[in-house]
Amino acid sequence: MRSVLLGVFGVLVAMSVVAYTLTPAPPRHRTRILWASSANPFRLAQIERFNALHPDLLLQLDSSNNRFEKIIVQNSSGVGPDCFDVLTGSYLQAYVESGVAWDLTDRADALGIKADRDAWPSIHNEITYEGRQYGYPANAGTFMILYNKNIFDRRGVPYPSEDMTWDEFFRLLQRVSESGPAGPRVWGTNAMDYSGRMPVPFLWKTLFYSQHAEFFSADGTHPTIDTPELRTAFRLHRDAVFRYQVLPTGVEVGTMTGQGGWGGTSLTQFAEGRFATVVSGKFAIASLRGFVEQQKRQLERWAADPARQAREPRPEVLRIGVVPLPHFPGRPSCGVALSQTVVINPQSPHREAALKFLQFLASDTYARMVELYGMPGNPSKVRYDYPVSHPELAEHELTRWVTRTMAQGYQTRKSPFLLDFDVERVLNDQVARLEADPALDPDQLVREAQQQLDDLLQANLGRDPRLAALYRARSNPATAR
Amino acid sequence: MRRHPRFVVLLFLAPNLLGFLTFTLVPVALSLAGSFTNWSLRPALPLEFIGLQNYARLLHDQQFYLYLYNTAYLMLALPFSIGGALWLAVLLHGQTRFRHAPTARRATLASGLATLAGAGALWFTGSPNLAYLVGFLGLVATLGFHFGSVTYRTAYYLPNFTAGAATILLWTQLYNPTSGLINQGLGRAAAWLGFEAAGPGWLTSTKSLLGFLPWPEFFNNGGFGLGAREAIMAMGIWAAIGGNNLILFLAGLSNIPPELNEAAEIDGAGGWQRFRHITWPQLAPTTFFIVIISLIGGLQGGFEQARMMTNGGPAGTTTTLSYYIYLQGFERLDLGYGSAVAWVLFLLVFALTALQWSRQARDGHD
Repeated sequence: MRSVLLGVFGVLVAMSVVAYTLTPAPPRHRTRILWASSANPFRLAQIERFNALHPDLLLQLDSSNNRFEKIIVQNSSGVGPDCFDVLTGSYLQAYVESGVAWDLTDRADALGIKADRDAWPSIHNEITYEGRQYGYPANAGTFMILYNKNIFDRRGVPYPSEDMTWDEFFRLLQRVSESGPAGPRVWGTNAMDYSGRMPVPFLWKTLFYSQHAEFFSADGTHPTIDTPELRTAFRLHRDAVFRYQVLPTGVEVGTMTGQGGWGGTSLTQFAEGRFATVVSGKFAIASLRGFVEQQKRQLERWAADPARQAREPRPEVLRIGVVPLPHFPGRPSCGVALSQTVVINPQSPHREAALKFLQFLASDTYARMVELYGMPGNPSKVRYDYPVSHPELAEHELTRWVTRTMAQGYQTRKSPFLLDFDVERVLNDQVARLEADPALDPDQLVREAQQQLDDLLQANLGRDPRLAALYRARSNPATAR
Repeated sequence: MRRHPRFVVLLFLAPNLLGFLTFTLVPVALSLAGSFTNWSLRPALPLEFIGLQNYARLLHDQQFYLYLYNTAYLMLALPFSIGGALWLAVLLHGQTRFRHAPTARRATLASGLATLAGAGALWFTGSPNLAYLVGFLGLVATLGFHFGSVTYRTAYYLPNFTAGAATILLWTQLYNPTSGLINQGLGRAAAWLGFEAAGPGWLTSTKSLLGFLPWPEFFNNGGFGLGAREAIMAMGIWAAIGGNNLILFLAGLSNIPPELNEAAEIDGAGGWQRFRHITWPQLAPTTFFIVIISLIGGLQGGFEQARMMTNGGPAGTTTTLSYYIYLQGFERLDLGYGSAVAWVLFLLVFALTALQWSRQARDGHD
């Protein structure tokens, strides 16, 4: 028996040695930079171009470790990626507070990646926190309404217009929604955040931003949650789900598809015709092009097969239109601007090399690439005169609106005393309750959220003397020591 | 070597022991120590010993009570899953193959031909999905005629070979309140009976079978009915009936001396009497083991379902203690508090297990 066990042990050792020798080593004389980002169609082209321009560097994608908690834990443990994506300023704040984002402020100017000079002003808060710069945007955008023209035409309903109020928009969606024997077949709109495994509804947030509202007081010392703006946003969100019945709940959308990852979410469902509209941005183009090409191939196969023509209806090819977000009466259309910011791990041994990647993001070469992939790059470099590859996707119309809305977009305030992340978590919990029980009073939910966040802020101050001192200084500058 | 047997034993144990120390014992000890600190992944907060503050905070944490309730509620499925596994094991324990070989061959052939004809007809009349279903069921029946109960044991255990995530995704779609197969089936059944009724909201609903009880407001009680918790319980029962419990019960059943049943049969005992007075007592050690393991699993369970099916919702009604530990530690970055919750969960598991052991010991003496 002993010899058998020793034999097994020996085989395992031998296999480990073989596996070790087979592990591909990085090419000699090239520094490997690991980038935790999503595996969207744009990434590979982007990486290929960067690597071609930098023969001494090897940029590689790590698409399975780009979630918030993984980044935090890996970076805190010293095994994190060299650079990673940060979606929205809320996450940037959390990363900075966790000490896993490298402060680039003092070198940004010399490197040509200065936030307030080179990037869109409306995403300034997406790459800076408390006046310090921590990254550079890979792309930027605002939310708009993309609508499926096929569905509107089929129902004989006019397309959404540029100057609709939210109420008019929801009523229009009611007309375009379709019900089958098993319930809604075509929903009015999809407004879900898929950054986690399960979709989280964000229509309430869009409605809140649509009023140019803020989560914090100007000095950041108080969460401003129990406000008419948020109460309105909660009520309208509830109405969209239960009164107009044009928006499914987050859990409902979660049961619609088992497919995750890039392109497997709201845009898939929109392209498949399950939603008449989607609250999305110009970045959707990258995915929608793929869907349109696939649908065209299906149409060709159908056209070439008479038996199939007799059996199946003509497959549709997606045709979209775009309008800015609806507005509240007496207010202009308004929304926040967002970016996908690349941030460098301060503990990375290759952080200097990773800076080259940020410089690449600020370059003309990259700006040309993002144009082709349908995204608005750096404002000083983007020309917006790229050739249209998919006329069905209203590419120039999107460009026109994205440049206008990027200029009009705003950034919400951040507070050093309470993470945006926590604010969103508390409010998302309340929205989940609202979606689960329409009888709940939105005003009461907002009041409860205010109380929870006030308590959380006080708990943060109680746990951190440095924060408490800063709070005193901001709340009462005259008496603060 | 002969003079140092302990050294040899340690040598063989070393790989496992080192792994256990590195990845289990040390982290467990660290989490215990961490539960008495303000341990956070935010480096701006200096690490400090805070005594029992995390545990005191937990006493006033309404969410903790809701999630503890959710955990306990989901464990109500355990008797059904254990009972179901036992029932299935008893059914599958016997040899269901035809004793007469020519009869078995004829049945196999007839079943195979019927399956081919049925599935083929459905396929060519434009119902491919139904053809797959009929084909699969027919295949199982055909193999059953040929190989007997081994076929059914394998079929019931098959879901255990499937990745848990895939099973969860499948059930998530089955539970879609409008287009899911379950509500579609219920809707058609209701229509056939002549009335219209909306199906349960399943994963979208905060209703529960104990929803009629006057729970505190923070329990997000949606009233009496079938909701997300029942959906997760039903999936758990489905997975557990044909799972490892079935294998353990089958092993237990095969250890029962057949002469006991034969003697009882000669004495005129019926099937139920034989089960009640022979099978069930003989399976007591197996059942005890399964109950203990299921209790521990139940208290620690619910993570994958919450993570993949519901995000812990709707309104926190499917967040269990294990998911709460994850949320505290890795989403809210509060590892100290998360550790405290984990240790309270450990105490609960330990207390329940100890109680079961003491009951078993007492019943054994009786």
